[in-house]
Amino acid sequence: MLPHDVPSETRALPAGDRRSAVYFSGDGLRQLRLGYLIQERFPGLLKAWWISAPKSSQRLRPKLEKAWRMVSSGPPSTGTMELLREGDLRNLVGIARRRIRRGDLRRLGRIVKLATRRDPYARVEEEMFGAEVKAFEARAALHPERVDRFDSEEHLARMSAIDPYLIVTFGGPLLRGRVLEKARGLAINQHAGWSPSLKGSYTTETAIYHRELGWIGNTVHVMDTQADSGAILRRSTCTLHPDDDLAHCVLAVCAVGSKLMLESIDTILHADRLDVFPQPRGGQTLLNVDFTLAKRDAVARDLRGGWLADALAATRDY
Amino acid sequence: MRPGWYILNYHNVDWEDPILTRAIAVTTRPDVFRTQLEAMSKEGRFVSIPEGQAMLESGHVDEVLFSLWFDDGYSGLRENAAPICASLGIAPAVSLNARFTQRTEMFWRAKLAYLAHVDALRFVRARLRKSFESVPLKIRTWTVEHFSTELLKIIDEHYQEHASEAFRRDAFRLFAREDDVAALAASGWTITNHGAAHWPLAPELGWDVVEREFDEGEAFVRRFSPDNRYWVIPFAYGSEHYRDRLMRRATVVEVGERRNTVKSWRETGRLFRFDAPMHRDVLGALY
Repeated sequence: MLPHDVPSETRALPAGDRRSAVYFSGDGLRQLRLGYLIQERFPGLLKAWWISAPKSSQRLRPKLEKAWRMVSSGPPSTGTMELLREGDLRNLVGIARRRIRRGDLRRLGRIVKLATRRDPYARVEEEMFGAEVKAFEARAALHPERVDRFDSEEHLARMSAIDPYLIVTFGGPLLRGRVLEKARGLAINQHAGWSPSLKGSYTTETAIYHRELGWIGNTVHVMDTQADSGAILRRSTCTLHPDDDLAHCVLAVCAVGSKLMLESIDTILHADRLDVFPQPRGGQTLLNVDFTLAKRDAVARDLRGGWLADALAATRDY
Repeated sequence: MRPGWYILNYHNVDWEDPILTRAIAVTTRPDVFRTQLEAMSKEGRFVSIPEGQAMLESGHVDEVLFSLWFDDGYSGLRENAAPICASLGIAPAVSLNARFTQRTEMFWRAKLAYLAHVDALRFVRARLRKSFESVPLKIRTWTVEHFSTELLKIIDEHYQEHASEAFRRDAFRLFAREDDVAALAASGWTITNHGAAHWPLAPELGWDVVEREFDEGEAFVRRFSPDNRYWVIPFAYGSEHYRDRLMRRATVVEVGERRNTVKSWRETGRLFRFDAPMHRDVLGALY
């Protein structure tokens, strides 16, 4: 849908051949699904598809650091990092006595487990999108390529050679200005949250934490170098069922975003002018570390206690 | 389960449930829809509406039969419901509201849902009280039971005031287009008549208006289904006010939360449907 509560303005689309796009994504099935959906809906449009794939040791480090910072008063030392990497809680005891703020090793163990597992929603994701993505994959012309860094000179040169009109992103790291400026037309992102109220990470989880049913939705927006803050193109809420768990809520939000993204691309390819909705200041930009263990527990408690069923029923009682 | 023909009444199948429909509870998510159909297919056999009807009329329904019937003609049917149904060999029915598909009138209940979302119902209630007596605080059911062209005008005035022209135009994306309906018909779906614009059969409307609404819907539906025989009652409300006259024109289809049996068909001459549950346990809602 078009946003109903944000003023719009009309922008002219940059001139030039529009049938050229590149896609930057994460490596979850939800992100792969969008890459294949773009190819199904707009054959030949996608010229390249890149997934950010830093070395596994680089990927793990920030997660372990995050786990440590959530319970400790200072950054982890090299020794602590090694013990965290090995999940060696027994030897962490010595460090814990001096460094852990709230002295709860069980809690740290739980955070390390959460932070280091690949994707807490992987099982449900496979159930929701697995078969569809497999079918898409079998008939697609273009598949993702893993690259270490999106802003390396080599990668930027490849982008210049493609000279894309459109950059599409869903998941993965924030793109820097020198990557975004390679788009002749627009760079657009699918954000699994309700902008401008919730930008950044864990936005669906945070919407549930705040018990805001109306914020469980997705925003497709023009990109700038700030997280999820560019002008909105489409935004809508997802279908929720009273017996949904957290994973189903999060992944449904992603699927809505892919639908909105296809609509946005269709408009960009065919319209002369584009109605956009610049985001007003305000709302929150959430960091990974903002979604604490306490919030995670609160969300789980609410869903177990029937909050979602109650909130859905309340919208229908007018 | 007891033998009989169980017709499940769905509306939309989509990942998206925007503010125009969330308060109406008409959207089933594709993954939940598939889960429900797979559960049903283990318990009985899916038949198309014409097949089920033929079995009823021949007096032989001695097994568990299922059918699907989608109301209103939403846009998620072609994109989401049809591939899932096709993968399970199911040929459903869809009942259309001509003006929604043709984009000439927005579903009045969706307008009301929007007004509820933007906290404009207080203005609607105040305006209704100038024209009607005993308007309650909760108006969801009351507006169905007291539906009239005057009530519709009041809702529309407020919708126009509180929603931008661009939003109102965009809102029609909720509904399938004519080429979507043609594609569904070509893949074996039964296309049926749900009236011109989903007006409830309130006593205030009168038979002339009711018949005109269905006739307009019928003229549209026959482009896709020249032999249509089904008129589906909006909101499953009010058919008793016009039943004899409706049944002279078509087979009347309602939501009655009951299975169809040879006995029920012979006694009533109507088809009944179950409202598809919003939770995953579809069979639990049918026992």
